[in-house]
Amino acid sequence: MGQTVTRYRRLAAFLVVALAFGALMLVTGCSAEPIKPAEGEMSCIDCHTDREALQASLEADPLPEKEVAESEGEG
Amino acid sequence: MPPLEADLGALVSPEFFETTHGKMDCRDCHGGVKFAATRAEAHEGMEPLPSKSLTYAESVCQPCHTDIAENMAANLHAETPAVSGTEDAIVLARASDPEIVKEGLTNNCSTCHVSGCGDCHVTRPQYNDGGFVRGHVFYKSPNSSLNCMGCHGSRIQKEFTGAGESEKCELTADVHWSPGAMQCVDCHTVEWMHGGEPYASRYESPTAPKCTDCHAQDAAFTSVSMHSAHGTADSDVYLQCQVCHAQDYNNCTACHVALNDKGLPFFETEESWFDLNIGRNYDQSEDKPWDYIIVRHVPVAESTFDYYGEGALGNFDALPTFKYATPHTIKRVTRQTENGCSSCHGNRDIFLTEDDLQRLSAAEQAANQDVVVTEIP
Repeated sequence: MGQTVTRYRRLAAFLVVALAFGALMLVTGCSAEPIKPAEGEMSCIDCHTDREALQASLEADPLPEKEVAESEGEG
Repeated sequence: MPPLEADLGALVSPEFFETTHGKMDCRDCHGGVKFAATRAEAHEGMEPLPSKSLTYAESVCQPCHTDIAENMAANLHAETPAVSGTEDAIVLARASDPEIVKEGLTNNCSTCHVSGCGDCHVTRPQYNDGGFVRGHVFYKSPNSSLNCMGCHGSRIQKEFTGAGESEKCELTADVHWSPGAMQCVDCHTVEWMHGGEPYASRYESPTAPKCTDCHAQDAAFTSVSMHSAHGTADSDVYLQCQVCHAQDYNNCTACHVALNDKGLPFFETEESWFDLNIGRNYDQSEDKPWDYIIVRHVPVAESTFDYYGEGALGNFDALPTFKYATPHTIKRVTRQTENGCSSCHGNRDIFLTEDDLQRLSAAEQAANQDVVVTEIP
């Protein structure tokens, strides 16, 4: 009898913790965020740790030139 | 300094991920999108310079580095009030029409400040188009060559590394220049860099570097006859250390500021040259007690702001144009010391005299009356 009560208590505690975790995930929006990239997608790290990928990206779409006026002499 | 290749400037090193900042989500600081198929999509809402903030106290670094971020706003690197402040700029003392000068300061001078904490601790300065120094690894002490000299390139770098040329002597690097060892921050300490109390100019800060921070005026110092004669407050004639130990340094003249036809700011300076002049200390104080100091010609001219309105610097003689300087050209034996006493005594060439002012306008001559040495010692 005593063992059955303990088992129910453990189950109830587990359910409460699981529900609280689920609610937290829902509130913070974490549950909606994908963990892995979909096909064709990259993460920040995937690109910014791969020099070839960066080079290819910059070659295909160069950064805009910063427009500055020419100064003369030492500033 | 030539800009870094764009891909290298954005390449994150594996070492970064072993550091505290590298264990955070990129978006914690930069925003942006977690996964994306295109660069444009990935960078939507992304801030490449997250520490860039008009008030450092509100920057992304503030929550963890609270004290530094809050003090930083009072630092000369955060703003440049003495150079460009519309209320505090030193040049305003020369202004007869301050509003014209303020317009020029706002357009041409106020862009000269760091673009956030990252300019010193993550990337090269944005003034040099940025780019990671160590693959996004944050570093406590800025690198002299890649950070400090990125901005302080034309005057300090040339002087410090011995890259300048003088018609009067051979120049060598400052004895303190040692790219693999001593760094700028060894003298220009973190207490100074990160500010605290506001002060009017870099010379006014109580934590500004002094030679005596390392070179004590003790018995060994005064055992050198030149030092006992000129190197202590008890000396009859007290000299700023640089009077003897600076090599020739950079001087500039006639800086003019304007906007081009697209509204972009630019400047033109007429001439730069390496020379050395000893002048009278026109601004003696407890911090600057010397009788003679080193003076540098600064680039201001009566017509500096003429693009915005002629004659705006009508009180041009309110301040000297040969100004107190602390050049980064230090050496033990210089042309002021190599021949003993006669190196200076009777040597008209190393003093700023009336003759040196002859080529200047009447207003500029008047501006330097308290600086010129009328009798060569």
